[in-house]
Amino acid sequence: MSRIGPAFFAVARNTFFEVVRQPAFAVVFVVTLASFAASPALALLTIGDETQLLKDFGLSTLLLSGFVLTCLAAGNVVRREIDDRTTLTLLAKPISRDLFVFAKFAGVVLAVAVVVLVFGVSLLFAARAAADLGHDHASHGDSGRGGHGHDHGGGAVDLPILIGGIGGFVLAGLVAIVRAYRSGRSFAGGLVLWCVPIFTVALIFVAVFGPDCEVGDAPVTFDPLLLHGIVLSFFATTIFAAFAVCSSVWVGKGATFCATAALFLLGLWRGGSSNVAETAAGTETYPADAGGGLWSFVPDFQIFWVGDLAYTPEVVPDAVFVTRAGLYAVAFAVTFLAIGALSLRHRSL
Amino acid sequence: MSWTRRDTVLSIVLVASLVAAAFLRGGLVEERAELVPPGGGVPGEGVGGSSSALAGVLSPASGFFRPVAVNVLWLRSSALRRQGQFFESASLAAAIAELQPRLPSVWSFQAWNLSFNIAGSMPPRERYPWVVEGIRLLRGPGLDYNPASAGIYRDLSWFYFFKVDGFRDDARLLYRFAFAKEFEIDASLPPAERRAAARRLLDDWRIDTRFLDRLAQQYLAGEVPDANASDFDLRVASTHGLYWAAAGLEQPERPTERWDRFLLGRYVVASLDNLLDHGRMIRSPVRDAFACVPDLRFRNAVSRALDDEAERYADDEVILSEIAAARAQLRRRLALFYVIWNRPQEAERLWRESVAAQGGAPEDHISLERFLSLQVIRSEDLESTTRAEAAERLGQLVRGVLGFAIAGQRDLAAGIHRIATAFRADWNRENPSSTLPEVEECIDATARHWDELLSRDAETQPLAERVRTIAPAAFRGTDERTPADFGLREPRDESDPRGLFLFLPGLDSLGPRDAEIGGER
Repeated sequence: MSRIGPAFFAVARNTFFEVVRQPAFAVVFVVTLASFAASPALALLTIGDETQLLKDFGLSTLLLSGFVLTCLAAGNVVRREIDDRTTLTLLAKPISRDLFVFAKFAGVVLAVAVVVLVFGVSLLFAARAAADLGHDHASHGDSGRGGHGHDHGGGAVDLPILIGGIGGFVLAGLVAIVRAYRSGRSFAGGLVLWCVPIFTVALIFVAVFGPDCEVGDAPVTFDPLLLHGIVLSFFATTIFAAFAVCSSVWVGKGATFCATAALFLLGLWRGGSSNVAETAAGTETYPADAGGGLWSFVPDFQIFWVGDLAYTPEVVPDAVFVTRAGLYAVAFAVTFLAIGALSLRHRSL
Repeated sequence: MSWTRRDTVLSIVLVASLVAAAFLRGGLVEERAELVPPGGGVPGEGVGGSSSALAGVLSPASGFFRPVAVNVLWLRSSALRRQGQFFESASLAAAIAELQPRLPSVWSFQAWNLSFNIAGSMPPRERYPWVVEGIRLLRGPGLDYNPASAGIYRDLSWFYFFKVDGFRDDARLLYRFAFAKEFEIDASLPPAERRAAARRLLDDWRIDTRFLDRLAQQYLAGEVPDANASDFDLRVASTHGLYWAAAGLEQPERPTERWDRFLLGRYVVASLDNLLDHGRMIRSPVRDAFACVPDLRFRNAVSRALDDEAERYADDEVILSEIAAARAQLRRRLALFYVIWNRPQEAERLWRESVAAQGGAPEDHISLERFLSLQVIRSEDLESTTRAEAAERLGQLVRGVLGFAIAGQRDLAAGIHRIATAFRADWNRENPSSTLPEVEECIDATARHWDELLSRDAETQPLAERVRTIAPAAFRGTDERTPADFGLREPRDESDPRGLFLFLPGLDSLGPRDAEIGGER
């Protein structure tokens, strides 16, 4: 039993590095960061309520990118091992098939958590930059959801954001290039991994310094809706990851991607088709009622979506809601992992 | 592999986690729904309305593609609108609304396109459905997705009191009568069915009678004992304008919506002003036509709304001076409305108060009689009006006298008669060389003419008899002069007796706004 732990962590660790080293993973990672960087400018083109739009779009991008990255990470994570027959070697060690599935999941989730962290920091930067660019003068710093609390006039460039965001990314890229050149390590993996500490430091830097690089009396706070939205998006990706790992026991990357996409859309449809007012009145009639218990197998992804709340003043899901949403995600992740483990246990290798 | 104890444990875990997920979901969905106020827009109550499942999927799942698509569609839709291609613009705007339903300006853009641009490009008789479609869009999905948006309430109120019940659109009468008919319930139905029909109407137009009760108590107290929702006439679009403007002001205040809230305050005043000006609908003796005359129950309501505005902007000199000017104008218009309702003493008193409030010597101000004349000719002075124009106006007033008399509205008939007399006297004093005929002679000539027209059709025969009862002197002598002999303008569609009532009271020549009778031809 004492050797199970190290074996579990070894599988998880290997999975993690395999995932982050994938070039496609890094491409989606970079494209997403670029979209966050461009979003303040893009919000300018739209009509009114730019800051709210940016939050909405940002959280939506985070959810979609999380989904794509999870599919890339977990789509082939078990099937490839089976096809390469490395599972036979692995399972000869003291690790059971079910723990193998759980370890694979842990590796995938860790990789996704890392990128969601970087995405989350980027989104917070983008939201502050949008407010600073003066796209939304009236809501600048008085949205009731924190805000950076500094008012230096619209249209100015937020230097800490520029240094922390763009500079941080360039620095991570340079470090990854140097490491790849000197020790032959994966550039893609290096870029993703070096972004984590650099963006974490950048977050602290941005929190300390105001838009004009001045130090305020108290650290700058970030929009709680965005913070909760980022956490909820991560919870959603854990369900994607569990489902994709489960699916990859049987099918390859393409089929897993399609199946996970179907689950995502079905889960959104399930929640989105409900009548909000009826729900509030306690008279909701979900498709679940018409379709029997089958709908219980479909996670409701609307629970993890708070982008629409960006347009409602002063509304933020509280910590209890976020915690319960986390438990909901864990419950579904465990469900899919249990199915995956049972499948692998009864699958011929 | 055979079934082992571990398989059993995994199965139990699977089932338990599924049950836990189902258990957690109920509370989460409920809590999530409570975060977004339900649609309906009425404070304290959500009437309900389904959100689009497609939008529910698109919003979270479209990621970065959504802002790109929204921007491209928006630019294209705006360009098409500028080019006058309103239908194409509307279809693109509908796509934007699906992609970005939480953005109030998307719904406003689309609704304006429907109610103003597309409606405006149609012939007058085909406009009303487009106007209502814009209203439905705002009142339905627009409010469902943006229940606290002051902008949506602002536009809703504007569409009602300005577009449907305003005075700018040349199809305004068609709008007013079509709108009034929406709220008329067949009187022949049993009471239970009538109540059910009324309920359906209220639900369909998203009217909360409790909120309307509050508005009645706020604005009609003192004028109507135990004022409640039923004291509002929902056939009048400005009632809806008032309702939505007041409902918008009940929404939480957002710093980004200060201008919208300012406008909402103005729209409350404007809607009440419309109700005072022409909020009383009197059915014409023939179907599909109404007289829209001043509703004096709102005389204090406008004043109260102005008080509210003055209180709200107590530190803004510009707004306060505007409010003072509005009060002065209100007093003068009230004098006119009192005359219309044949209450000359109150009109005189108000006129004296108005003169006193303006300051200066009484002779520096025009008389009430001259004020009435100027209202009739809608001009700054009598000199710029020709005799033919004056006779045309007199003809309208005469038809008004007869029309209201036939409709059983004696006060209104007497009031319009008083205005006609004052106008004629004032005109003749100023223009001794081109005088207008006696009002009584004009009434007699018009009565004879109407009698002749109405007698042609069995359906309108009873109306002809009423004309003879109302103006017996016209039929005693041998006088056979027609209105044309006095230079009075004739109704355009003489072949249809109903046409008489389309133009008859001619109240549109009165008042700074338009209080008129008209009908659907």
